[in-house]
Amino acid sequence: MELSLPYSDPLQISETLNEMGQLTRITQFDSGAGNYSMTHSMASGISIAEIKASKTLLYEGWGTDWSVDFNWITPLKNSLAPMGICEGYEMKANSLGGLNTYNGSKGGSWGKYSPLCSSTACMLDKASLMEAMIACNAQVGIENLTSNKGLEVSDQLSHQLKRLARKDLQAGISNPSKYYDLIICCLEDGKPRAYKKGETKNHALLSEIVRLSHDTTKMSSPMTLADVCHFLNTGQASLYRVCQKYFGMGIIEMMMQVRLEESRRALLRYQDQSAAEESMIREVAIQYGFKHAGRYARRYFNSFGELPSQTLLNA
Amino acid sequence: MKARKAKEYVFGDLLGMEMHCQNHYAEYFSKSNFSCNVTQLSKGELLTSSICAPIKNVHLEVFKSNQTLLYEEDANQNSVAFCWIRGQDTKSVSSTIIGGHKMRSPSIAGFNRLNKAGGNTWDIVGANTVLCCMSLKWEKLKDQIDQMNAYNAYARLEECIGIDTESECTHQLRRLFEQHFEFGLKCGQAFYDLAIATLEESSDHENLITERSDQTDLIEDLVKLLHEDRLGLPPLRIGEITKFLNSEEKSLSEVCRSNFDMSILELIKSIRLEQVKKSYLNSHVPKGLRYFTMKNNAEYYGFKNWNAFERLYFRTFSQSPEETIEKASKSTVFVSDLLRSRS
Repeated sequence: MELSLPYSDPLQISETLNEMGQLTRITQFDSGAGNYSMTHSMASGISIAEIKASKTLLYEGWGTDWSVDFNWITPLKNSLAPMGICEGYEMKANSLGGLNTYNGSKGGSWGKYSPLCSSTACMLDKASLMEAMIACNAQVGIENLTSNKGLEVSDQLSHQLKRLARKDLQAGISNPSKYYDLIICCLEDGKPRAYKKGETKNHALLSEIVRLSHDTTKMSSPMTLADVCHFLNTGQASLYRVCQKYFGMGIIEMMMQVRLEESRRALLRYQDQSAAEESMIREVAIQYGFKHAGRYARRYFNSFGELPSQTLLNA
Repeated sequence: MKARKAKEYVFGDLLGMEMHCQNHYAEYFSKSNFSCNVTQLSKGELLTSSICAPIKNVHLEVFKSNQTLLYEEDANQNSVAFCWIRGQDTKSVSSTIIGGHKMRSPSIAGFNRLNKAGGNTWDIVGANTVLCCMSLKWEKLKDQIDQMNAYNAYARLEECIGIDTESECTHQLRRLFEQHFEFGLKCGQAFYDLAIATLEESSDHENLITERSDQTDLIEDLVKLLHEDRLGLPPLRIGEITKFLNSEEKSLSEVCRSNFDMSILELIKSIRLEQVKKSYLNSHVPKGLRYFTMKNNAEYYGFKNWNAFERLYFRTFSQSPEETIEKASKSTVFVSDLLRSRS
């Protein structure tokens, strides 16, 4: 049975994903309201979700302890512009990403997708997958799964996988083993992309930036460029180069955006109804590193088109 | 000193100058929604002049005023400003402050006009200071930074308000600017290259830098708050200002003294006085109505005692409120004047 939900807010997508076991925090990188939709389907040992958004979204905290979360994109427009990144791996039309979730910790993965494509996540049971791979002696596949973040697969396999997912997202998953078979074929057939040493280093830095910007223990203190350089043990030029290339903005701006989004989540979940509106906003602002509530309100308005007080009212 | 397309604009009032800036900026950056507030901080009759000599993608301006002026404008994502003072003694400190950076001879500042976070920026241009301003388009500058792999320059733009630098490329930038006003250059590319080189090089040397900080944020917010319209509410009291800014009166007083060389009350009065003057200059309102609301306008901005206001107004602008209204109105013979002359 198809379950396609339209959303007016990316926070609602993360709520639905949370229900599926993905404790993902989503940050919208473009300002203003957009359109978002998610179609998902579940069966024993498998869960698939396809997300379309008219704004660029960053997903952080992806990954469960029971699954490998494979990922692919479907281009919606012809464009040479980058469409998505999955844990630093650039996603193209025939890419299969998310392989790192096999070895990764729970909630340790991230991805960023532009409005130029839809992104599909296919969660397969980690133990069952490995069992099946061993059973069919898929040695190359096992090697690829355990040592790569992503692979480039053939047109034929990529189309077959997308066709199957499209059909099942509409009609419901009839046979989960088909996904296991197809994914094993992709892992066997897929080729890792050759990256230069510097690029691999950039991917690692990128992941560190995403983790630091979402680190709840550091959110309450204002983050300066010097602090970020110190925490990541890197120079400002490298940080700006990587952030500009992959996120299209400066590092401080990017971190600010994540904090604003997290503060919005906090405002929407604020439980203490007895507290005065002004003190609630002030408290949330301080919690996310904004020392001055007035300035926070202005930045907030600029990103979301409403004041924190309006968010509280609409919560 | 003239570039081929240089135009000189002279203003005797700040409302006219604001309108001009707004239109000029909109012409240069299509779809912009630029507006600014300018306040005369020193006392006396005003005369400002601005020589604009834009080339494609680069706006160049030489600005001078006989009075000290305070600028307040919304930060934006359209342009990055690079400002410096022409011909100043290397040792002296001018009264000019750009975005919070106290300007000396080697200073270049104004980068904080670039802001995605919805902030604002402010400048003080000292009386009789010749200010050179270069505006570059942010999208183009960003592309150029990417191409040149000049990410230290990017970091400077995002984190910094101004720098004091004696680097060779800074001197080249200033020379190029002067050459343009003398001979008129056709291509603006070199301004982009030198601006990036100035920012990039400044990170390799021990330079005096003003970084964005809580202190610079506080002054930006103070200046913005004092310019905000209260939609019919009484003007803000100092207690309310400190509350809005999450600050204390003592810190605000210190900030005012060190940046504006005046008390907070004097700063508030100057800004409000200018706002009243602009209401008298508003040519969209009929002259009769401006006379009719003259005292109310002063009261709206917190000047309850008309006589005291009149005296302060005259001391500041060297003219009375009535003279301002008269000067801003064209002499017209009304149809009703014919009937009036018969009676």
